[in-house]
Amino acid sequence: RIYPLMRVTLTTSDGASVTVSRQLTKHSGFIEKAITDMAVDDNAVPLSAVAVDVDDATLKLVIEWLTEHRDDALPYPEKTDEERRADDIPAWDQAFVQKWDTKEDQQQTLYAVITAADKLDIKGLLDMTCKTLANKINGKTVEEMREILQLECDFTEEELAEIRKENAWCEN
Amino acid sequence: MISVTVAAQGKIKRLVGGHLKAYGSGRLSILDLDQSDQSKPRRNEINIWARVLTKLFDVVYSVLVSCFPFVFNFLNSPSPENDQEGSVGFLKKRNKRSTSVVRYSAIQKLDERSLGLIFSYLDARGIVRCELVSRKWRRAIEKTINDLPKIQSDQIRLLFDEGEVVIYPVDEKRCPCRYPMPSLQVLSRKLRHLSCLSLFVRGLIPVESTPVLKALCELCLSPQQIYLIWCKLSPASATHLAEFLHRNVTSLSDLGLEECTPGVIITDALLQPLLPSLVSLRVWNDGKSGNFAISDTTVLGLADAIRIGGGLETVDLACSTLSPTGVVGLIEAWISAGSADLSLSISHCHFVTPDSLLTLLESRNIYFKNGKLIRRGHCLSLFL
Repeated sequence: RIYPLMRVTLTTSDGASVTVSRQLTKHSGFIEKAITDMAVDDNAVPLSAVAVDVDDATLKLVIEWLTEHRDDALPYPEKTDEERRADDIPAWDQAFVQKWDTKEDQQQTLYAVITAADKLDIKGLLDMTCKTLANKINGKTVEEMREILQLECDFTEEELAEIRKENAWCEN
Repeated sequence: MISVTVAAQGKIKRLVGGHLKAYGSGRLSILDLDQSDQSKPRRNEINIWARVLTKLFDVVYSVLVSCFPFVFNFLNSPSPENDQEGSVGFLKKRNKRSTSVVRYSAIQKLDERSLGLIFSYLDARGIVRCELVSRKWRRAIEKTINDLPKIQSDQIRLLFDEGEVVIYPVDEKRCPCRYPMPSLQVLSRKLRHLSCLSLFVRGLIPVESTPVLKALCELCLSPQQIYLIWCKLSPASATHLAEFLHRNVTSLSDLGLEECTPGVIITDALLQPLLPSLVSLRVWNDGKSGNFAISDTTVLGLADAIRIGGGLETVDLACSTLSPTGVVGLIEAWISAGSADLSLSISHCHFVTPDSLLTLLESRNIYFKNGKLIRRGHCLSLFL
């Protein structure tokens, strides 16, 4: 049973610690597992000690999102392949991302939040941030995708030709 | 969807002989399977070592440069004499190469699972493009391929006898694409981004049946219709045929096995898990190539499927050890719960003669008129 007043202290990779309500952390599969399995003292969960490298700034964003979504249904509803769509991000979430996902930032924060959501096992946040990134590259050419994501091609021309040949049946 | 009957009957006479492309392409490369299986990893190994050594050299070189910068400044200084010298030229070349290493982007931090989740929100053609973006992305797509959206096609025909693959697009106005049958490894690579409504396989021979069925198991074609015709399967491939059919149980509603040998590997147990969702079942041969191991268990399974609301429409069984009791069991189930027209054909079944079946039907007060029976506006047609 989860008591709404129960609080959990999270310690980040850069040494800061944040205390949050258990009502928020119940959405993180990782923190819940840490609390129940590891029987950590005073419900203090050191995120860095268990290979979860989340810095203070990212954790603040995660907590902001969790606070808004504290009453979301659990477990997070799994979508079937047909139901999967990237254009159903709630308005609050869109505004939340727009605040920090600026052009200058070049998705650095977005990647950090995706990684944190993945490591902390927060399915709703992971889903939403992955959709955000998918929307950025959907329908784009290979060059446009590299441009948006600041990626350089690490294939040789021959390898690219090989992959194109392999996927030739997908063209029609 | 293209009718398989057309696909099956499109060529009435089966072409046999040396003019077939298969003998020069598909067949031979499949026989080469074992050899190429062994040689491939070895080549990769060499590549890995070459890459490790290159990296090691880069590291040692950069450590040396940072420890003794003056030596390298001297060596790399723009002097025509040095440029002519072999070893220095080599060092310069290495140096140039290591600066062209991929620029670091934070997206490289994302692990393959997260990348897979991102890709799962793209359309299938977008995923094919993503494969060209970077090595890591290609690896992530490889690993998560079974969970990613697929490019839908109407029908995929694997014609092993003619060494040809034909892909019919969903849009009927567009022409089907024909490709020569590649080697088997290449075939499954080429099909991995595709799904189809109908999968049509013709002319397998025993030696290739196991690798082909294994490859089909690993793909996610999710066909509603699977049709195997003129396939000579090896006894060992029976488990792979079962695995392939059972893996597709959620999508499969129409199964046809026509002139597939040996009949003994087509069993009740093979069909059992598929029966509840089948709309059409055809297991047929002309009575000259032995019996299938199909008994009343299968028809009674179909009867149960009708009783729980299944919309069975076609049953075409030949050369099976059915009994009149089993067939009547299916007819009675249709009378009590059938929700669609049903066409029931029984041929070359030793124990089901027209006389024995009609006698048993009459004893249950079931009378066919011109081979037809009408109930609740639906029609059951019986062909013996």
